[in-house]
Amino acid sequence: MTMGDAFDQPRPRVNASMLPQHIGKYVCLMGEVMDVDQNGLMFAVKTSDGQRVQINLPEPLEEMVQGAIEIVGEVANNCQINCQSYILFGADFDMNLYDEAIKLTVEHSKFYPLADSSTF
Amino acid sequence: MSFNLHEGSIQEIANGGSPKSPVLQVLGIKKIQSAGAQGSERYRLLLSDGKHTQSSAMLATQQNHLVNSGQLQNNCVIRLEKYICNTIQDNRRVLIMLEVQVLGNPPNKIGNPTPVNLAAGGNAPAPAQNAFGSSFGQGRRPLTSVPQPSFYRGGAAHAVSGGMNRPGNQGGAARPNQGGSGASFYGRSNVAASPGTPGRGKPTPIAGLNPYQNRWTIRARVTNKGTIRTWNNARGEGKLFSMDLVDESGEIRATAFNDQCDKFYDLIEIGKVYFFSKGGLKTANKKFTSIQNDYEMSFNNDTTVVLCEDEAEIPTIQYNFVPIEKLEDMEPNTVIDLIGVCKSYGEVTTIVTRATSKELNKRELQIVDMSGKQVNFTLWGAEADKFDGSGSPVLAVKGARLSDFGGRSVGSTFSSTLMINPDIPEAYQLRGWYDKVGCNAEAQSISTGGGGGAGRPTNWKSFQQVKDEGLGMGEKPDYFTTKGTIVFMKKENSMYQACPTQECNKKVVDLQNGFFSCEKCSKEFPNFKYRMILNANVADYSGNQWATCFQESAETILGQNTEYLGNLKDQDDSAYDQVFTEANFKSYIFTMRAKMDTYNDESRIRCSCVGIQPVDFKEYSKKLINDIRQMAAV
Repeated sequence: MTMGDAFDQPRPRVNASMLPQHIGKYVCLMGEVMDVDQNGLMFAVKTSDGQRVQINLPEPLEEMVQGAIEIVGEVANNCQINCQSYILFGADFDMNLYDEAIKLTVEHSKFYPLADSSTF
Repeated sequence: MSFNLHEGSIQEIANGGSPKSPVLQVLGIKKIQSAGAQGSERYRLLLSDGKHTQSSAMLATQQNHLVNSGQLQNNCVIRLEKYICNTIQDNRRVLIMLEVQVLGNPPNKIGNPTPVNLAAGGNAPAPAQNAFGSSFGQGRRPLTSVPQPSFYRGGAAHAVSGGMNRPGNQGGAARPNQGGSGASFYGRSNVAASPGTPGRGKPTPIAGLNPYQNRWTIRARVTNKGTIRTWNNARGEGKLFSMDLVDESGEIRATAFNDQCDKFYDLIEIGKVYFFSKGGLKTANKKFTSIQNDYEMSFNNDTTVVLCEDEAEIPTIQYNFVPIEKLEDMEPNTVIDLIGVCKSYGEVTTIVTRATSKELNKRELQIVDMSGKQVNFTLWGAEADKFDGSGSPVLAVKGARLSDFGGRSVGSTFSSTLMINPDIPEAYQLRGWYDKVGCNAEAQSISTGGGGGAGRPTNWKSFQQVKDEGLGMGEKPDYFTTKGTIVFMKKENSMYQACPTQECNKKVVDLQNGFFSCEKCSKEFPNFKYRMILNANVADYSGNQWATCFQESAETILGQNTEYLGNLKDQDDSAYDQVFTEANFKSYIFTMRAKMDTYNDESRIRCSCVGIQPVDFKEYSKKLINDIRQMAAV
């Protein structure tokens, strides 16, 4: 799977509770880095709704990851994320507000439509 | 038909006795119009027992109908089912007929009665059988010192045996008021005996109290008790406390002064029901209370207060809540009842009052209600010290004062009652609303200042709303807040040459000789200072708006101080251009003032920027989330 796959289709912003509905699909997940596996091939995040989600990487991390992180990847059957890419946002990020915001996008999905090639 | 008048009964009454149900003849009826008291016409009767006559006999007003309907006429023979007798000045005894039965109407006067020897009763008091201290006239105090304490806390059952309140004593007319009988009859022209005289069965409803009756007992709940206050003025000093009383008919404010203040303050507890007997009634000063009653009560020496344990049917505090949104339409200084959720609260601060130079603690709270409006509420004194606003409690205030300080604000007064999370339906309704909607909603404050010290209430508007709602069309300018992006700025005329005097800022005239003249200061200066007057086009998602930005806001937008910009303008045009280019397309939270401006007969809305702040994305996100939740809730 190449990077191109993930960015060719919608990747809705979700929190951990929404992962089961997106198994096999690409999502965008925000969280705070909790712990990083020694081999650098996986790490765990505390999502905006306060749950622990494991992120699997195709290749070992080459940098230190901490603070707020945005992950784009495919949701595996066990609700882990097979990470395609990530962005670090640093420390000053309000997870609660973010969680409120994505809940609103789901509640009012007609105002927040997912385009075929989402740029959301 | 012949009538047997009870001969000797008038003499007995004159002596202080109280014969049971005497049968007497009416020899004369005279209408008395009390001075000033509207509608308080009374009838004075001349009574005869065939041997003596008694001229000081007043018909209780509730029996007036007997005369008005013609049932009771001259020569009628009546039976006095209930009456009381009081001694007034100079030992005269006044008989008050509470219940009269007309037995018949013989054509003539029976017997040949002579006026009763009035002195007999007064000069020869017979203490043994004289239940009504006929000794009043001799300067002794009324018999309030009947062994029972006048404030008896033993409950209703004791109250009966206490002799003051006889809820079950229907026959009480024969011996009313062993306690302080008659003391309040001194020198009154409109001698009155009311239906609620102590000793009768039913208490008077509060709504039925008026200044023309001074014999009554009410059964009422104390819904508020103020603190003891002292006064010290030209007329002397003293102390008092006030309380609010309520029964099923209404409410009334009562005040106890000095001795009564000492006597009753500790004994009266908020929330309990008491029998209150006797006291003065006068027209209420609505300025000081929200109590819905034309009269207020003041305790006097004869006032008695007896605990009543049977609280049935006596309502608890009666509130007359005013929604916060209605406060703007009300006159300042109105006393109101308010309920709302304490959204935020400040620390206790101390001020020194102007009038008394005393230190006073206060605390500012922000109260919201379901009208979506917010008002500042000031707690004073002890209430301010002990208030805990954590957990956004529901606050019910009885008797708060509306003020026009800072738009509209509300404050507690000495007579306010503050209830935190009261057990009333309105409070539960508010709790539910607040937890679901209100806590996330941005309430619109009708008070300026406070609430975190932001200058004005934030009145969020999009530019389209500004146009649609016609902001600035009124006589007063309108202020609004919006998140906008600078899309264009007029570089030309963005600065002017101003008077260099610190406080002036008036535009100077270049005299073209190296001097600049300020008309306001009437001076010429060799220099000037630049001032900014930047016209910027600000856009949001809905539209855009030209706004004039003065010194500080222009400096914020351009990111440079005016002096520096002035130098650039004069010396480095391209650098000056660069400043404007870089400042473009930045977003801020603008506070703007919109006002109709007429120039050359052409009117249009002018906006000027009175505040500009960088966008606090967390705060702004909160606002947006709240907005969406509110829209979704509708």
